[in-house]
Amino acid sequence: MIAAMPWAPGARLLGVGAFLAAVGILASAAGWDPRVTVSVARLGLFDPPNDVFAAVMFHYATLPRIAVALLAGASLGLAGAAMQAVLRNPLASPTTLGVASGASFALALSTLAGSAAAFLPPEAWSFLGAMGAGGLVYLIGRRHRFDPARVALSGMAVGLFLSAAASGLVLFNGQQLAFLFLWGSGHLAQSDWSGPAVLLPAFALAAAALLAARRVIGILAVGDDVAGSVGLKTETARLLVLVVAVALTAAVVARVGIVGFVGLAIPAIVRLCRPRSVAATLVASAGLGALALFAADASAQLLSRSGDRLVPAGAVTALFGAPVLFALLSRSRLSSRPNPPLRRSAGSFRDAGPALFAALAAGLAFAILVALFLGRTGGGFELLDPARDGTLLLTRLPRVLGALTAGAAVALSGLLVQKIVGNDLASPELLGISSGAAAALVLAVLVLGVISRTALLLCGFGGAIGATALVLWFARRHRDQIAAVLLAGIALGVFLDAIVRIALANASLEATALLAWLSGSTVLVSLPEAIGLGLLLAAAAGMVLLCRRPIALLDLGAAVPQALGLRVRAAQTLTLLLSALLASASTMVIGPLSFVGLVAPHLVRMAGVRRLAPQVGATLLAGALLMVVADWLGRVAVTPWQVPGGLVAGLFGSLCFLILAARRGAGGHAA
Amino acid sequence: MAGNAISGEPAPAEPPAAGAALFELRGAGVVLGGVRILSPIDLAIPAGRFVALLGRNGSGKSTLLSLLARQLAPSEGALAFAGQPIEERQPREFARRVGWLPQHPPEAATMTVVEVARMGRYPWRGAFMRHDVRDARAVATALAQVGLADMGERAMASLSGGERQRAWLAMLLAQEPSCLLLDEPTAALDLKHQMEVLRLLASLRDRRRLTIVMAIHDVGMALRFADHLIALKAGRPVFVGPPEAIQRAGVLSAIYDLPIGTLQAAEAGPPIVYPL
Repeated sequence: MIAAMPWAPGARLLGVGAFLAAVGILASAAGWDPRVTVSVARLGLFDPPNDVFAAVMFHYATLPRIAVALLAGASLGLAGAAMQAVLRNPLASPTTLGVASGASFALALSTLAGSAAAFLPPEAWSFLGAMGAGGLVYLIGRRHRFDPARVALSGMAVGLFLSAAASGLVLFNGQQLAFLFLWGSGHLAQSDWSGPAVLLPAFALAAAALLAARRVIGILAVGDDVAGSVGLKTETARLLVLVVAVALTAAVVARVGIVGFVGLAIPAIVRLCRPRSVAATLVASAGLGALALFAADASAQLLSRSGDRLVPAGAVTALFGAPVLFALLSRSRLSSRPNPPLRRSAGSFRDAGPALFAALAAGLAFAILVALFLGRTGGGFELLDPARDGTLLLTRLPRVLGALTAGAAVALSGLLVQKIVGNDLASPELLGISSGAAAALVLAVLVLGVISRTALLLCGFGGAIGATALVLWFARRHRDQIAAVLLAGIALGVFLDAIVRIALANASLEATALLAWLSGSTVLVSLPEAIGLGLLLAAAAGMVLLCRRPIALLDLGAAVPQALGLRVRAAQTLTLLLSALLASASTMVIGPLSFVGLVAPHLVRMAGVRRLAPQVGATLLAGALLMVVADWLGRVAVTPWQVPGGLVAGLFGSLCFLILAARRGAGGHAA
Repeated sequence: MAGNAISGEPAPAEPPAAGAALFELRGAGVVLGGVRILSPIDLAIPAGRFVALLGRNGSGKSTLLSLLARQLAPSEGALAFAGQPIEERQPREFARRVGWLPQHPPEAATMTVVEVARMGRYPWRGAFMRHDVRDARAVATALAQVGLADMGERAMASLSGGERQRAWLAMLLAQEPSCLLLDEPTAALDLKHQMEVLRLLASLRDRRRLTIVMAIHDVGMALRFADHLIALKAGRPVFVGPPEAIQRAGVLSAIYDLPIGTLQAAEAGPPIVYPL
């Protein structure tokens, strides 16, 4: 397709650039303030007179904003192109390597620390955070010889963990960190020329350094063995280039926050145009990145103005960039067939017996009792007396029950998804299924206003099914490449998250409630709801146990079960519908990012439960236990505040995911 | 007949008499992603015979087997099984009569050997019917036939390539089909196990009148055990007939694009095949 293109690389790049520029200019023109006429603009260009308001605005808001958009876009495109070249990884970028999240998290921390952190400028904190997160991903990647999918998966895991931690910070310090909300999505509004004054030298220095090193980058892009044989110190050279790219990213994040996908998608587009040299790739990525962010910001402003709502540019880039990543993944083969399994010394399995179930059940019972009776007040921990504080017990009961059933439901959903995809790194949270439910729920609340919980559940179910269908379609095409499926799922999650962010940025009053709810606050659960969820869970678990034979067969892919007479499509679809229903129901209670759906089936498998029927039972117990404990911890950890249980679970869950991704990473076939 | 006695209800219809066509392709061809894999061909697979599919890599052997196993639908033409259009059969009913083993079976790392073999009972018991003593006997017989009787509780991940291959073969035998479709079943096996598996297949043909269709690269083994050969070249059959006929000068050389000689070693035994 590309090969058949009649034009030269330069012409193709110019074509893409002209298109982006046209979008940006048209969007700017459509949203242009009519008071800024040609003469006003000429007045405002350099030293605006104080009495012409439009000229002042033009000078101190419009022009610097355009400059910041161009500079930040160029920086991200350049950083992404350099990272992709030296890591030989089409999935590397400031956001996918966790670098941007690290910078943003460090900034949030330094803001909270206030004057204690004032001895360093925010740019320095941003750089330290970016280096920390990027360094972690680098170390993990080096252990796996920079396998592209593993590196990207580790980066995504770091990003997920930091964003869970960041939402925790926001919840506690809403006032101080309100900016993180806007910033998290890349907000480009400017009030003076300080932004360009930082970004211009940063970009110029980095561009000069990278262009000077273009020969080194070119050799690294060919491969380590070649680079070593021509006498290059590969490790040092790669690190130096990466540090430049990370520093550039940190500068951008410190000024405008995280702008997703520009650093990923633009170099990919440039590569599709097949430039002939490294220098051309770097320059073209910078140029197109600048135009892309300009176009995205102009569109965002137009959307903000026409809808009377605030649309951050970063959300717009995520909106367009996530589908680009999706398309990129469906075109490229990331790796060949997975490695053949290692022969294990242990010849037979020792399955976990009833002792494990007894232990899980006892643990759950104990956790429920603790959650019901042990609370914390200002003075310390307090045991509740059921005779005296019956009402308090009654308020805690639905909450504990909700956490219990929601945890069990999402754990079962995770087990089913893992059977369908045929890999135990999959889960409803990672594949975007829970995000689909959350996006549909938030949109339903914002569009339809207050509706019944049943209607909400239906909306969430619809969203989960939509996301599920996409992921299933993708997984069918990439069966032996679980990393591609996971990355596509994460991209889908980011895409849906962008929609939620746009929606939340505009729902001033409902926003806080929605945020608390998305982080998994169990406070809102009523007793009938918890009981309803329990009934749904019981029915679903019964169905799974009844159909355990076909579901266990699904683990083997499509061909063999079909040869055995199983209607594979129908079985897959029904199982997925069931898991989507469970995921959306639990999302209503504990939010989309608890990671219990990933962790619970894993723990059960590690404990030696191997066959499906006992796996279902143990997974339900483990999911319930994890969620009840997380919810209780959230309740008592930092009284008088309450941390949503979903957030606590998400914090630990994403940490677990990070360890899993680092240990066995993309293949996931080793055990 | 032993198969029917073991598995009980629902008994399969009597297979077509030996020599009649079990599968019949009428102008059936396969085009995948715009690339022609299999030309529209007319071809009959006789019942009760041991059929070897020969041909170079990429000549369409696996595609033909997938077509027969209903893993693929023909892009054009028609395909009949036992005189009936193949797509009209219910999945499990078809699986009770035709067993298929892909070239690269799944890893199934967390399963034991006996669990893999037991999956072969799915066509008979489906999702809900209880397994009874007849199923247990079918599984045990299958494991004994492939020589894995005392390794039933071993983890699949702990087996060697040949043992794993035979475990999947046990699943196929536990399925008790009247036709086996095998894609290079001996590729991972050492010489001793190659001989054992091929002898087992030949005896299944003799005792239970099973139809066996097998893709195989070892021409010598094919000449020794098969009684009907089909050679494919670039997606179309270039030779269909008995093993004796393929030994005529130039036939094998034309199939493999390589000068090949044959040497009659013993009086009645199969010839030795060697590249010149």
